[in-house]
Amino acid sequence: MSSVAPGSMAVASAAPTRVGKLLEASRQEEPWASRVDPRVKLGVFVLFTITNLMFLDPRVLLGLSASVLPLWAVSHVRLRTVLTVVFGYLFFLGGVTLSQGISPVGHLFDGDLRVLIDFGGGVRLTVEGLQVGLSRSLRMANPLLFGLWVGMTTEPTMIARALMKMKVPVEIAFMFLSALRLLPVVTKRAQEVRDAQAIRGASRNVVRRVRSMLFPLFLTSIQSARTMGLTMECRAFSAKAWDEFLRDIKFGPKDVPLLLYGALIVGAGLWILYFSGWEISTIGNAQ
Amino acid sequence: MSGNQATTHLSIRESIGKLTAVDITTIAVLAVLFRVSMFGYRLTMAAFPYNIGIRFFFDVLLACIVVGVVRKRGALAAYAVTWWLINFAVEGEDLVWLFAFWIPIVVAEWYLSRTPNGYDGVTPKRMVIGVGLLYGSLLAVIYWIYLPTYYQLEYAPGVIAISLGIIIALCIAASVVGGIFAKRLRDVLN
Repeated sequence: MSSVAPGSMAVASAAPTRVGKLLEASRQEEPWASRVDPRVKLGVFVLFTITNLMFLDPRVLLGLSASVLPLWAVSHVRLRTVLTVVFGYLFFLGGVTLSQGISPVGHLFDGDLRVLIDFGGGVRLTVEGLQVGLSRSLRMANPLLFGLWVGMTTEPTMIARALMKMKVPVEIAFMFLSALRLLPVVTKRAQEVRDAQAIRGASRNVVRRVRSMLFPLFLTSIQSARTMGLTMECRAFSAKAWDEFLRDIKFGPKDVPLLLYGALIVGAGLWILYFSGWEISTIGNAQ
Repeated sequence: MSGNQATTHLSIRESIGKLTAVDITTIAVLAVLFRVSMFGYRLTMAAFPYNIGIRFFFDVLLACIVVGVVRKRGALAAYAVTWWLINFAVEGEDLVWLFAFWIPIVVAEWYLSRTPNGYDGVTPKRMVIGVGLLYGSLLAVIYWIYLPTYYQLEYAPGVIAISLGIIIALCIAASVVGGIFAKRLRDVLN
């Protein structure tokens, strides 16, 4: 615990309380998704990912993808952002499905494969390959979709607060927070370095341009990170007294809908696997 | 940032606890740089051996840059934790990977810290062996065990042997490149 004068403690505790109350009032107007306890979001995210990994059948995996859409719908995210996510999701899905579609999958199926395009040299696009590709891409893309929703509806500081409340060491929570905070900083730095190179008449050759960008980008990014680190040290980070957050997170009725959602996903997954009697594809067993 | 006291008796958890906020933010930004640059590559990832080799090249390259810039015990483990957390938050990286990750990190951290002056005594040769050979090759071996069960793949024995050989060579090359790059960065930053 750091030693602080009692007077300053009184002032320090009064100001954050007033500010905290103002923040609390403004938070009531935030969308539901932003007010949900980040611990609940992280827990449901883990459950969703585990359920996702239990299946190989593209139909079930597509159903899991569709189950995330209502969460996006109630999040009040800008339409442009949603369209960007949708485009990225479909691009990722299509790219991995096609690239997996031409990979060798004959050992996973009995009988001959149904060839769509024969490129020659043993490289073929097959129906079974596309099925395997779709399954693999959905297994990767589904957690991406849910994870992006968590990232877009939760402040990085609140995620760090949630991790600390879950007894994750403060160094690791701070590492995670720093990384999330530095993502836009690094992107902006890359743009600045690229503009500076262009002004100086950088080579049009892509390889040379990337090579000339790398060192300045690393250097300026590390310098920004060190400034941020020094700021934290000045606030006694190494004394392990860092526990100051303007607002706290509390579990409440607002978290129940997401918990029910998580229970529904897990329950549906277990029912499909063990009780439904449906023929679930395992992509590898005899068809 | 001297490491004159013997640090070999510290656990990895204690070593991470000795990193300052400056070290942590440096590691975080390097993990972010890697994440941003790898995103384009991951979009078209396919389960071919050479693709996995390229992935490990970048894994080891960044690990060496982290170790070369921060030069403290626990830096590699801190980088691995940050990297995995980012991946999990952005892509929902497999939970299985979390546990497999720690084996090469523990081995590499143990080897790097066995110098007269603790971590600060890491020579370029020790970097190549510790990060390139031990960390990179163990990571590759674990991935080769995990990958076939996850993707239900079966490779011919010759393919696996050649691929692992290429991966190990790439890991050593990455550690050399990473070490040189880290030294240039350190010279300018300090």
